[in-house]
Amino acid sequence: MINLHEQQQLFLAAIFESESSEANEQLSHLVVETENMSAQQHINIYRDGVLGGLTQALSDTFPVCLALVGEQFFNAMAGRFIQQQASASPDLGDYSPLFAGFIEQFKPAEQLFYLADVARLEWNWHQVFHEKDDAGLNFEALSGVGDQDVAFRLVTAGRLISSPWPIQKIWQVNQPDYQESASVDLDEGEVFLWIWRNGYEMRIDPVDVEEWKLLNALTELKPFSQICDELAAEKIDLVSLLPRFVEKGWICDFSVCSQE
Amino acid sequence: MSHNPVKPYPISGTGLGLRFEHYQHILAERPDVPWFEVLVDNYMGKGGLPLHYLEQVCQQYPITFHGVGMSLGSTDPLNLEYFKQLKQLKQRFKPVHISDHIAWISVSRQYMHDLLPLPYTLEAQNLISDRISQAQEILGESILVENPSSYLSFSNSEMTEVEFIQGVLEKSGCELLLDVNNIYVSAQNQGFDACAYLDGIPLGKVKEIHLAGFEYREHYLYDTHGYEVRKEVWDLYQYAIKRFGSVPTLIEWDNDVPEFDTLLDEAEKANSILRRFAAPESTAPLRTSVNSGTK
Repeated sequence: MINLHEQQQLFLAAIFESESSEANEQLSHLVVETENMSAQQHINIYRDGVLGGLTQALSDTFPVCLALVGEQFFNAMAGRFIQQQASASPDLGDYSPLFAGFIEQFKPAEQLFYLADVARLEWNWHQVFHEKDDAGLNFEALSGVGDQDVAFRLVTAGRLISSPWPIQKIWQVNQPDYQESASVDLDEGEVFLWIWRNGYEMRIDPVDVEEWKLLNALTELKPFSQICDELAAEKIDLVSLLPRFVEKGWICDFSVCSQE
Repeated sequence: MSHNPVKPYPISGTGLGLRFEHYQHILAERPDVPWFEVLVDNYMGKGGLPLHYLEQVCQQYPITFHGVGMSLGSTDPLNLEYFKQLKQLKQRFKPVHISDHIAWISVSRQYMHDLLPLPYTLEAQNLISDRISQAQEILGESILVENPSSYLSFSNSEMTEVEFIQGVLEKSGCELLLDVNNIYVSAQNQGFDACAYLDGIPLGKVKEIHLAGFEYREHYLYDTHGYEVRKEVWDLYQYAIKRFGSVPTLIEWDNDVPEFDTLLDEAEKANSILRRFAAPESTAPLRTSVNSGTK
Protein backbone atom coordinates (compact mmCIF):
# COMPACT_ATOMS: atom_id res chain seq x y z
CA MET A 1 0.00 0.00 0.00
CA ILE A 2 1.29 3.44 -0.93
CA ASN A 3 2.21 5.78 1.93
CA LEU A 4 1.44 9.51 1.99
CA HIS A 5 4.92 10.63 1.00
CA GLU A 6 4.97 8.28 -1.98
CA GLN A 7 1.51 9.46 -2.98
CA GLN A 8 2.57 13.11 -2.87
CA GLN A 9 5.70 12.39 -4.90
CA LEU A 10 3.55 10.55 -7.43
CA PHE A 11 1.19 13.53 -7.57
CA LEU A 12 4.13 15.88 -8.15
CA ALA A 13 5.44 13.72 -10.99
CA ALA A 14 1.97 13.43 -12.53
CA ILE A 15 1.58 17.22 -12.54
CA PHE A 16 4.85 17.88 -14.35
CA GLU A 17 4.93 14.84 -16.65
CA SER A 18 2.76 14.13 -19.66
CA GLU A 19 -0.64 12.47 -19.40
CA SER A 20 0.80 9.30 -20.91
CA SER A 21 3.52 9.04 -18.25
CA GLU A 22 3.77 6.17 -15.82
CA ALA A 23 3.17 8.61 -12.94
CA ASN A 24 -0.21 9.60 -14.38
CA GLU A 25 -1.07 5.96 -15.02
CA GLN A 26 -0.25 5.05 -11.40
CA LEU A 27 -1.98 8.07 -9.90
CA SER A 28 -5.12 7.38 -11.97
CA HIS A 29 -5.50 4.09 -10.09
CA LEU A 30 -5.74 6.09 -6.86
CA VAL A 31 -8.35 8.57 -8.12
CA VAL A 32 -12.06 7.84 -8.18
CA GLU A 33 -13.74 8.22 -11.57
CA THR A 34 -17.05 10.10 -11.58
CA GLU A 35 -20.01 9.85 -13.90
CA ASN A 36 -18.76 12.45 -16.35
CA MET A 37 -15.03 12.48 -15.77
CA SER A 38 -12.19 9.99 -15.92
CA ALA A 39 -9.57 9.82 -13.19
CA GLN A 40 -7.10 11.52 -15.56
CA GLN A 41 -9.51 14.41 -16.15
CA HIS A 42 -9.74 14.93 -12.41
CA ILE A 43 -5.93 15.00 -12.16
CA ASN A 44 -5.75 17.43 -15.07
CA ILE A 45 -7.74 20.02 -13.13
CA TYR A 46 -4.89 20.16 -10.63
CA ARG A 47 -2.23 20.08 -13.36
CA ASP A 48 -3.87 23.05 -15.08
CA GLY A 49 -4.12 24.87 -11.74
CA VAL A 50 -0.44 24.38 -10.88
CA LEU A 51 0.96 25.13 -14.33
CA GLY A 52 -1.47 28.01 -14.81
CA GLY A 53 -0.51 29.51 -11.46
CA LEU A 54 3.22 29.35 -12.19
CA THR A 55 2.69 30.80 -15.69
CA GLN A 56 0.63 33.61 -14.16
CA ALA A 57 3.42 34.32 -11.68
CA LEU A 58 5.89 34.68 -14.55
CA SER A 59 3.45 36.90 -16.49
CA ASP A 60 3.05 39.12 -13.43
CA THR A 61 6.81 39.50 -12.99
CA PHE A 62 7.67 39.87 -16.69
CA PRO A 63 4.80 41.90 -18.20
CA VAL A 64 7.02 43.61 -20.78
CA CYS A 65 8.41 40.30 -22.04
CA LEU A 66 4.80 39.14 -22.30
CA ALA A 67 3.86 42.26 -24.27
CA LEU A 68 6.85 41.79 -26.59
CA VAL A 69 6.18 38.17 -27.56
CA GLY A 70 2.41 37.88 -27.07
CA GLU A 71 0.50 35.59 -24.75
CA GLN A 72 0.72 32.42 -26.81
CA PHE A 73 4.50 32.57 -27.24
CA PHE A 74 5.03 33.65 -23.63
CA ASN A 75 2.90 30.83 -22.26
CA ALA A 76 4.77 28.27 -24.36
CA MET A 77 8.12 29.68 -23.22
CA ALA A 78 6.96 29.79 -19.59
CA GLY A 79 5.69 26.22 -19.92
CA ARG A 80 9.12 24.98 -20.99
CA PHE A 81 10.78 26.91 -18.16
CA ILE A 82 8.34 25.51 -15.60
CA GLN A 83 9.08 21.96 -16.77
CA GLN A 84 12.77 22.35 -16.07
CA GLN A 85 12.81 24.77 -13.13
CA ALA A 86 11.24 23.75 -9.84
CA SER A 87 10.05 26.40 -7.40
CA ALA A 88 12.04 26.03 -4.20
CA SER A 89 10.30 28.67 -2.07
CA PRO A 90 6.79 29.11 -0.71
CA ASP A 91 7.07 32.74 -1.86
CA LEU A 92 5.85 32.77 -5.45
CA GLY A 93 7.68 36.08 -5.84
CA ASP A 94 10.94 34.13 -5.65
CA TYR A 95 10.03 32.01 -8.67
CA SER A 96 11.85 33.53 -11.61
CA PRO A 97 15.43 34.65 -11.01
CA LEU A 98 16.59 32.13 -13.61
CA PHE A 99 13.99 33.05 -16.25
CA ALA A 100 16.25 35.54 -18.06
CA GLY A 101 19.03 32.97 -18.34
CA PHE A 102 16.51 30.47 -19.67
CA ILE A 103 15.28 32.94 -22.31
CA GLU A 104 18.87 33.45 -23.45
CA GLN A 105 19.10 29.74 -24.25
CA PHE A 106 15.54 29.41 -25.60
CA LYS A 107 16.01 28.79 -29.32
CA PRO A 108 12.58 29.98 -30.52
CA ALA A 109 13.35 33.41 -28.98
CA GLU A 110 16.88 33.77 -30.37
CA GLN A 111 15.87 36.40 -32.91
CA LEU A 112 14.63 38.58 -30.06
CA PHE A 113 18.24 38.99 -28.93
CA TYR A 114 17.30 41.75 -26.43
CA LEU A 115 14.54 39.72 -24.71
CA ALA A 116 16.78 38.14 -22.04
CA ASP A 117 18.11 41.56 -21.02
CA VAL A 118 14.57 42.95 -20.83
CA ALA A 119 13.75 40.01 -18.55
CA ARG A 120 16.78 40.86 -16.41
CA LEU A 121 15.57 44.42 -16.11
CA GLU A 122 12.12 43.24 -15.07
CA TRP A 123 13.51 40.81 -12.49
CA ASN A 124 15.68 43.56 -10.99
CA TRP A 125 12.68 45.90 -10.97
CA HIS A 126 10.69 43.25 -9.10
CA GLN A 127 13.47 42.79 -6.53
CA VAL A 128 13.84 46.51 -5.97
CA PHE A 129 10.07 46.91 -5.54
CA HIS A 130 10.08 44.44 -2.63
CA GLU A 131 13.50 45.33 -1.20
CA LYS A 132 14.13 46.60 2.31
CA ASP A 133 13.39 50.24 3.14
CA ASP A 134 16.32 52.40 4.19
CA ALA A 135 16.44 55.35 6.50
CA GLY A 136 18.01 58.37 4.81
CA LEU A 137 21.69 59.27 5.12
CA ASN A 138 22.55 60.68 8.54
CA PHE A 139 24.27 63.93 7.54
CA GLU A 140 24.93 64.96 11.11
CA ALA A 141 26.84 61.75 11.81
CA LEU A 142 28.70 62.08 8.51
CA SER A 143 29.82 65.59 9.35
CA GLY A 144 31.28 64.27 12.58
CA VAL A 145 33.52 61.76 10.83
CA GLY A 146 36.30 64.28 10.25
CA ASP A 147 39.37 62.85 8.51
CA GLN A 148 38.49 59.22 9.05
CA ASP A 149 38.05 56.98 6.04
CA VAL A 150 34.51 55.75 5.42
CA ALA A 151 32.75 53.15 3.28
CA PHE A 152 29.55 54.46 1.73
CA ARG A 153 26.58 52.20 1.17
CA LEU A 154 24.13 52.51 -1.70
CA VAL A 155 20.41 52.24 -1.04
CA THR A 156 19.45 48.60 -0.44
CA ALA A 157 16.64 48.93 -2.97
CA GLY A 158 18.97 49.47 -5.91
CA ARG A 159 20.33 47.25 -8.70
CA LEU A 160 22.75 47.85 -11.57
CA ILE A 161 22.23 46.42 -15.01
CA SER A 162 23.85 47.07 -18.37
CA SER A 163 22.92 45.90 -21.85
CA PRO A 164 24.08 46.37 -25.42
CA TRP A 165 20.41 47.07 -26.26
CA PRO A 166 18.15 50.01 -25.34
CA ILE A 167 16.22 47.96 -22.81
CA GLN A 168 15.01 50.94 -20.83
CA LYS A 169 13.37 52.39 -23.95
CA ILE A 170 11.88 49.00 -24.77
CA TRP A 171 10.55 48.77 -21.22
CA GLN A 172 9.18 52.31 -21.33
CA VAL A 173 7.24 52.01 -24.60
CA ASN A 174 5.63 48.82 -23.34
CA GLN A 175 4.16 50.38 -20.21
CA PRO A 176 0.33 50.46 -20.25
CA ASP A 177 0.18 54.25 -19.87
CA TYR A 178 2.82 55.06 -22.54
CA GLN A 179 1.37 57.49 -25.10
CA GLU A 180 4.21 58.50 -27.43
CA SER A 181 5.81 56.81 -30.42
CA ALA A 182 6.45 53.15 -29.74
CA SER A 183 9.38 52.85 -32.14
CA VAL A 184 12.78 51.97 -30.67
CA ASP A 185 16.09 52.18 -32.48
CA LEU A 186 17.90 49.00 -31.50
CA ASP A 187 21.22 50.54 -32.59
CA GLU A 188 21.06 53.32 -30.00
CA GLY A 189 24.01 51.74 -28.23
CA GLU A 190 24.64 50.15 -24.86
CA VAL A 191 22.89 51.33 -21.73
CA PHE A 192 23.93 51.44 -18.08
CA LEU A 193 20.95 51.49 -15.74
CA TRP A 194 20.50 52.09 -12.04
CA ILE A 195 17.17 50.64 -10.96
CA TRP A 196 16.32 51.96 -7.54
CA ARG A 197 13.57 53.10 -5.24
CA ASN A 198 13.36 56.69 -4.08
CA GLY A 199 11.22 56.08 -1.01
CA TYR A 200 8.38 54.14 -2.63
CA GLU A 201 8.81 55.61 -6.11
CA MET A 202 10.33 53.15 -8.58
CA ARG A 203 12.99 54.62 -10.87
CA ILE A 204 15.07 53.35 -13.76
CA ASP A 205 17.82 55.94 -14.20
CA PRO A 206 20.27 55.75 -17.12
CA VAL A 207 23.75 56.57 -15.79
CA ASP A 208 26.93 57.60 -17.61
CA VAL A 209 30.14 55.59 -17.56
CA GLU A 210 31.65 57.53 -14.64
CA GLU A 211 28.53 57.10 -12.52
CA TRP A 212 28.40 53.44 -13.48
CA LYS A 213 31.96 52.88 -12.30
CA LEU A 214 31.40 54.62 -9.00
CA LEU A 215 28.11 52.80 -8.42
CA ASN A 216 29.87 49.48 -9.04
CA ALA A 217 32.74 50.41 -6.74
CA LEU A 218 30.29 51.39 -4.00
CA THR A 219 28.48 48.05 -4.20
CA GLU A 220 31.72 46.45 -3.02
CA LEU A 221 31.69 48.57 0.17
CA LYS A 222 35.34 49.49 -0.26
CA PRO A 223 36.91 52.29 1.81
CA PHE A 224 36.31 55.55 -0.02
CA SER A 225 40.03 56.32 -0.14
CA GLN A 226 40.59 53.12 -2.06
CA ILE A 227 37.79 53.95 -4.50
CA CYS A 228 39.35 57.41 -4.99
CA ASP A 229 42.72 55.84 -5.83
CA GLU A 230 41.21 53.34 -8.23
CA LEU A 231 38.99 55.84 -10.05
CA ALA A 232 41.63 58.58 -10.11
CA ALA A 233 43.67 56.27 -12.31
CA GLU A 234 40.75 56.41 -14.71
CA LYS A 235 40.58 60.20 -14.39
CA ILE A 236 37.15 60.14 -12.75
CA ASP A 237 36.47 63.21 -10.64
CA LEU A 238 34.84 62.08 -7.43
CA VAL A 239 34.75 65.58 -5.97
CA SER A 240 31.80 66.44 -8.15
CA LEU A 241 30.41 62.92 -8.52
CA LEU A 242 29.95 61.96 -4.87
CA PRO A 243 27.86 65.00 -3.83
CA ARG A 244 25.59 64.30 -6.82
CA PHE A 245 25.07 60.73 -5.56
CA VAL A 246 24.23 62.03 -2.11
CA GLU A 247 21.86 64.65 -3.48
CA LYS A 248 19.99 62.09 -5.57
CA GLY A 249 19.51 59.87 -2.53
CA TRP A 250 21.54 57.00 -3.92
CA ILE A 251 23.71 56.74 -0.81
CA CYS A 252 21.85 55.81 2.33
CA ASP A 253 24.50 54.97 4.89
CA PHE A 254 28.20 54.84 5.70
CA SER A 255 30.51 53.12 8.13
CA VAL A 256 33.82 54.37 9.49
CA CYS A 257 36.71 52.16 8.34
CA SER A 258 38.97 50.82 11.03
CA GLN A 259 42.45 52.36 11.05
CA GLU A 260 45.14 49.74 10.39
CA MET B 1 -21.61 36.63 42.77
CA SER B 2 -18.62 36.36 40.47
CA HIS B 3 -18.94 37.74 37.01
CA ASN B 4 -16.75 36.24 34.35
CA PRO B 5 -17.80 37.61 31.00
CA VAL B 6 -16.67 35.75 27.89
CA LYS B 7 -14.33 37.98 25.98
CA PRO B 8 -15.94 38.78 22.64
CA TYR B 9 -14.07 37.73 19.54
CA PRO B 10 -12.14 40.77 18.29
CA ILE B 11 -13.81 40.82 14.87
CA SER B 12 -17.41 40.42 13.79
CA GLY B 13 -19.59 41.09 10.79
CA THR B 14 -18.45 40.80 7.21
CA GLY B 15 -14.90 41.70 6.31
CA LEU B 16 -13.27 42.02 2.91
CA GLY B 17 -10.14 40.61 1.35
CA LEU B 18 -7.52 43.36 1.16
CA ARG B 19 -6.35 43.68 -2.43
CA PHE B 20 -3.65 45.90 -3.87
CA GLU B 21 -6.13 47.45 -6.31
CA HIS B 22 -8.11 48.98 -3.43
CA TYR B 23 -5.39 50.31 -1.14
CA GLN B 24 -5.63 53.90 -2.22
CA HIS B 25 -9.42 53.91 -2.05
CA ILE B 26 -9.39 52.38 1.43
CA LEU B 27 -6.82 54.79 2.78
CA ALA B 28 -8.47 57.83 1.21
CA GLU B 29 -12.11 57.00 1.89
CA ARG B 30 -11.87 54.85 5.03
CA PRO B 31 -14.89 52.77 4.05
CA ASP B 32 -17.10 51.29 6.73
CA VAL B 33 -15.68 47.76 6.80
CA PRO B 34 -15.27 45.96 10.15
CA TRP B 35 -12.04 44.13 9.22
CA PHE B 36 -9.82 43.10 6.33
CA GLU B 37 -8.16 39.80 5.52
CA VAL B 38 -4.59 39.97 4.26
CA LEU B 39 -3.11 37.38 1.88
CA VAL B 40 0.01 37.14 3.98
CA ASP B 41 2.10 35.39 1.32
CA ASN B 42 2.01 38.61 -0.71
CA TYR B 43 3.84 40.44 2.07
CA MET B 44 6.94 38.27 2.39
CA GLY B 45 9.11 40.95 0.77
CA LYS B 46 11.60 42.88 2.89
CA GLY B 47 10.00 46.29 2.36
CA GLY B 48 8.47 48.56 -0.24
CA LEU B 49 4.99 49.77 -1.04
CA PRO B 50 2.92 46.67 -0.13
CA LEU B 51 4.19 46.64 3.46
CA HIS B 52 3.93 50.42 3.65
CA TYR B 53 0.26 50.31 2.63
CA LEU B 54 -0.45 47.43 4.96
CA GLU B 55 1.05 49.37 7.84
CA GLN B 56 -1.40 52.19 7.21
CA VAL B 57 -4.43 49.92 6.84
CA CYS B 58 -3.51 48.21 10.11
CA GLN B 59 -3.63 51.51 11.92
CA GLN B 60 -7.28 51.88 10.98
CA TYR B 61 -8.74 48.37 10.74
CA PRO B 62 -8.39 45.00 12.45
CA ILE B 63 -6.82 42.47 10.10
CA THR B 64 -6.50 38.71 9.81
CA PHE B 65 -3.77 36.77 7.98
CA HIS B 66 -4.66 34.12 5.43
CA GLY B 67 -2.01 32.10 3.63
CA VAL B 68 -1.15 29.02 1.62
CA GLY B 69 2.56 28.77 2.37
CA MET B 70 2.49 26.59 5.50
CA SER B 71 1.90 23.52 3.31
CA LEU B 72 0.34 21.87 6.34
CA GLY B 73 -0.46 18.58 4.61
CA SER B 74 3.01 18.05 3.16
CA THR B 75 5.24 15.16 4.19
CA ASP B 76 8.26 17.52 4.13
CA PRO B 77 9.50 19.05 7.38
CA LEU B 78 7.94 22.45 8.10
CA ASN B 79 9.73 25.24 6.27
CA LEU B 80 11.12 27.10 9.28
CA GLU B 81 12.32 30.04 7.22
CA TYR B 82 8.72 30.63 6.10
CA PHE B 83 7.47 30.46 9.68
CA LYS B 84 10.19 32.86 10.78
CA GLN B 85 8.98 35.41 8.25
CA LEU B 86 5.36 34.75 9.16
CA LYS B 87 6.10 35.28 12.84
CA GLN B 88 7.87 38.55 12.10
CA LEU B 89 4.82 39.72 10.15
CA LYS B 90 2.57 38.60 12.99
CA GLN B 91 4.61 40.59 15.50
CA ARG B 92 4.60 43.66 13.30
CA PHE B 93 0.95 43.69 12.19
CA LYS B 94 -0.76 41.82 15.05
CA PRO B 95 -3.47 39.99 13.08
CA VAL B 96 -6.54 38.83 15.00
CA HIS B 97 -5.82 35.31 13.75
CA ILE B 98 -3.79 33.39 11.17
CA SER B 99 -5.23 30.80 8.83
CA ASP B 100 -4.04 28.32 6.20
CA HIS B 101 -5.50 25.25 4.49
CA ILE B 102 -6.13 21.55 4.89
CA ALA B 103 -3.98 20.86 1.86
CA TRP B 104 -0.36 20.69 0.74
CA ILE B 105 1.53 22.79 -1.78
CA SER B 106 4.98 21.18 -1.70
CA VAL B 107 6.80 17.89 -1.50
CA SER B 108 10.51 17.11 -1.62
CA ARG B 109 11.00 20.88 -1.21
CA GLN B 110 9.41 21.57 -4.56
CA TYR B 111 6.58 24.09 -4.37
CA MET B 112 3.56 23.92 -6.65
CA HIS B 113 1.83 27.00 -5.21
CA ASP B 114 -1.60 25.45 -5.53
CA LEU B 115 -3.69 23.74 -2.89
CA LEU B 116 -3.40 20.00 -3.50
CA PRO B 117 -5.68 17.31 -2.08
CA LEU B 118 -4.95 14.85 0.69
CA PRO B 119 -6.23 11.29 0.85
CA TYR B 120 -8.48 11.14 3.90
CA THR B 121 -6.48 8.50 5.73
CA LEU B 122 -5.52 8.17 9.37
CA GLU B 123 -1.88 8.64 8.36
CA ALA B 124 -2.67 11.98 6.66
CA GLN B 125 -4.90 13.05 9.55
CA ASN B 126 -2.15 12.36 12.09
CA LEU B 127 0.47 14.04 9.94
CA ILE B 128 -1.44 17.26 9.35
CA SER B 129 -2.57 17.40 12.98
CA ASP B 130 1.05 17.09 14.15
CA ARG B 131 2.15 19.78 11.73
CA ILE B 132 -0.65 22.13 12.79
CA SER B 133 0.45 21.59 16.40
CA GLN B 134 4.04 22.43 15.42
CA ALA B 135 2.86 25.53 13.55
CA GLN B 136 0.85 26.65 16.58
CA GLU B 137 3.86 26.06 18.82
CA ILE B 138 6.08 28.19 16.58
CA LEU B 139 3.52 30.98 16.16
CA GLY B 140 2.50 30.91 19.80
CA GLU B 141 -1.21 30.81 19.03
CA SER B 142 -3.98 28.59 17.79
CA ILE B 143 -4.45 28.80 14.03
CA LEU B 144 -7.46 28.33 11.76
CA VAL B 145 -7.47 25.78 8.94
CA GLU B 146 -9.73 26.00 5.91
CA ASN B 147 -11.61 23.14 4.28
CA PRO B 148 -10.47 22.77 0.66
CA SER B 149 -12.41 22.86 -2.58
CA SER B 150 -11.78 19.49 -4.18
CA TYR B 151 -11.76 18.21 -7.73
CA LEU B 152 -10.97 14.58 -7.06
CA SER B 153 -11.30 11.98 -4.34
CA PHE B 154 -8.74 9.30 -3.64
CA SER B 155 -9.72 5.65 -3.66
CA ASN B 156 -7.46 5.02 -0.66
CA SER B 157 -9.37 7.48 1.57
CA GLU B 158 -10.57 5.82 4.76
CA MET B 159 -13.05 8.45 5.92
CA THR B 160 -15.13 11.37 4.67
CA GLU B 161 -13.78 14.91 4.58
CA VAL B 162 -15.91 15.90 7.55
CA GLU B 163 -14.63 12.97 9.62
CA PHE B 164 -11.10 13.93 8.60
CA ILE B 165 -11.64 17.53 9.70
CA GLN B 166 -13.30 16.49 12.97
CA GLY B 167 -10.19 14.47 13.82
CA VAL B 168 -7.82 17.28 12.85
CA LEU B 169 -9.68 19.79 15.03
CA GLU B 170 -9.65 17.39 17.95
CA LYS B 171 -6.03 16.25 17.65
CA SER B 172 -4.43 19.63 16.96
CA GLY B 173 -6.73 21.92 18.93
CA CYS B 174 -6.90 24.30 15.98
CA GLU B 175 -10.00 26.20 14.85
CA LEU B 176 -11.87 26.03 11.57
CA LEU B 177 -12.14 28.54 8.77
CA LEU B 178 -15.26 27.27 7.10
CA ASP B 179 -15.32 28.04 3.39
CA VAL B 180 -18.97 27.65 2.43
CA ASN B 181 -18.23 28.12 -1.26
CA ASN B 182 -15.65 25.31 -1.09
CA ILE B 183 -18.21 23.03 0.53
CA TYR B 184 -20.71 23.72 -2.23
CA VAL B 185 -18.10 23.24 -4.98
CA SER B 186 -16.78 20.00 -3.46
CA ALA B 187 -20.29 18.69 -2.77
CA GLN B 188 -21.26 19.20 -6.41
CA ASN B 189 -17.99 17.78 -7.71
CA GLN B 190 -17.87 14.80 -5.36
CA GLY B 191 -21.59 14.20 -4.96
CA PHE B 192 -22.09 14.63 -1.22
CA ASP B 193 -24.75 16.47 0.78
CA ALA B 194 -23.46 19.94 1.70
CA CYS B 195 -25.95 20.41 4.57
CA ALA B 196 -25.00 17.06 6.08
CA TYR B 197 -21.36 18.21 5.87
CA LEU B 198 -22.23 21.35 7.84
CA ASP B 199 -24.15 19.26 10.39
CA GLY B 200 -20.95 17.28 10.99
CA ILE B 201 -18.84 20.32 11.85
CA PRO B 202 -18.62 20.73 15.63
CA LEU B 203 -20.20 23.83 17.14
CA GLY B 204 -17.85 26.38 18.65
CA LYS B 205 -14.92 25.62 16.36
CA VAL B 206 -15.83 27.83 13.40
CA LYS B 207 -14.07 31.18 13.85
CA GLU B 208 -14.44 32.52 10.33
CA ILE B 209 -16.46 31.83 7.20
CA HIS B 210 -15.33 32.44 3.63
CA LEU B 211 -17.67 33.26 0.75
CA ALA B 212 -16.57 33.51 -2.87
CA GLY B 213 -17.79 32.99 -6.41
CA PHE B 214 -17.16 29.77 -8.33
CA GLU B 215 -17.09 29.16 -12.05
CA TYR B 216 -19.19 26.67 -14.01
CA ARG B 217 -16.98 24.45 -16.18
CA GLU B 218 -18.06 21.65 -18.48
CA HIS B 219 -18.30 18.82 -15.96
CA TYR B 220 -17.45 20.46 -12.68
CA LEU B 221 -17.42 23.64 -10.62
CA TYR B 222 -14.16 25.52 -10.12
CA ASP B 223 -13.35 27.79 -7.20
CA THR B 224 -11.95 30.84 -9.00
CA HIS B 225 -12.76 33.64 -6.53
CA GLY B 226 -13.57 35.72 -9.56
CA TYR B 227 -17.34 36.15 -9.37
CA GLU B 228 -20.13 37.27 -7.11
CA VAL B 229 -21.23 34.70 -4.56
CA ARG B 230 -23.74 32.37 -6.26
CA LYS B 231 -27.31 31.97 -5.01
CA GLU B 232 -26.73 28.33 -4.06
CA VAL B 233 -23.85 29.41 -1.84
CA TRP B 234 -25.90 32.17 -0.21
CA ASP B 235 -28.51 29.52 0.63
CA LEU B 236 -25.88 27.27 2.14
CA TYR B 237 -24.41 30.21 4.04
CA GLN B 238 -27.83 30.90 5.54
CA TYR B 239 -27.96 27.28 6.68
CA ALA B 240 -24.45 27.61 8.17
CA ILE B 241 -25.31 30.81 10.04
CA LYS B 242 -28.40 29.22 11.54
CA ARG B 243 -26.16 26.45 12.85
CA PHE B 244 -23.00 28.31 13.86
CA GLY B 245 -24.36 31.74 14.77
CA SER B 246 -22.84 35.09 13.93
CA VAL B 247 -19.43 33.99 12.70
CA PRO B 248 -17.13 36.65 11.16
CA THR B 249 -17.52 36.28 7.42
CA LEU B 250 -15.24 37.23 4.56
CA ILE B 251 -15.98 38.09 0.95
CA GLU B 252 -13.06 36.69 -1.08
CA TRP B 253 -12.47 38.01 -4.58
CA ASP B 254 -9.01 37.44 -6.02
CA ASN B 255 -9.34 37.34 -9.81
CA ASP B 256 -10.80 40.09 -11.98
CA VAL B 257 -11.07 42.14 -8.80
CA PRO B 258 -14.09 44.48 -9.13
CA GLU B 259 -14.72 48.00 -7.90
CA PHE B 260 -14.71 48.31 -4.14
CA ASP B 261 -18.44 49.08 -4.06
CA THR B 262 -19.21 45.67 -5.56
CA LEU B 263 -17.44 44.07 -2.60
CA LEU B 264 -19.40 46.28 -0.21
CA ASP B 265 -22.63 45.12 -1.86
CA GLU B 266 -21.61 41.49 -1.36
CA ALA B 267 -20.71 42.21 2.25
CA GLU B 268 -24.11 43.78 2.84
CA LYS B 269 -25.82 40.63 1.56
CA ALA B 270 -23.82 38.59 4.07
CA ASN B 271 -24.56 41.06 6.88
CA SER B 272 -28.24 40.85 6.10
CA ILE B 273 -28.13 37.06 6.52
CA LEU B 274 -26.10 37.41 9.71
CA ARG B 275 -28.71 39.78 11.13
CA ARG B 276 -31.66 37.64 10.15
CA PHE B 277 -30.49 34.12 10.79
CA ALA B 278 -27.82 34.05 13.48
CA ALA B 279 -29.20 32.25 16.54
CA PRO B 280 -29.91 34.80 19.30
CA GLU B 281 -27.69 33.13 21.89
CA SER B 282 -24.67 33.25 19.62
CA THR B 283 -25.33 36.60 18.06
CA ALA B 284 -22.93 39.38 18.93
CA PRO B 285 -23.97 42.81 17.69
CA LEU B 286 -22.52 43.41 14.25
CA ARG B 287 -19.93 46.08 14.48
CA THR B 288 -20.39 48.87 12.04
CA SER B 289 -17.78 51.27 13.32
CA VAL B 290 -14.35 50.81 11.77
CA ASN B 291 -12.26 52.11 14.64
CA SER B 292 -13.48 50.00 17.50
CA GLY B 293 -10.07 49.50 18.98
CA THR B 294 -9.24 45.86 18.70
CA LYS B 295 -5.53 46.42 18.16
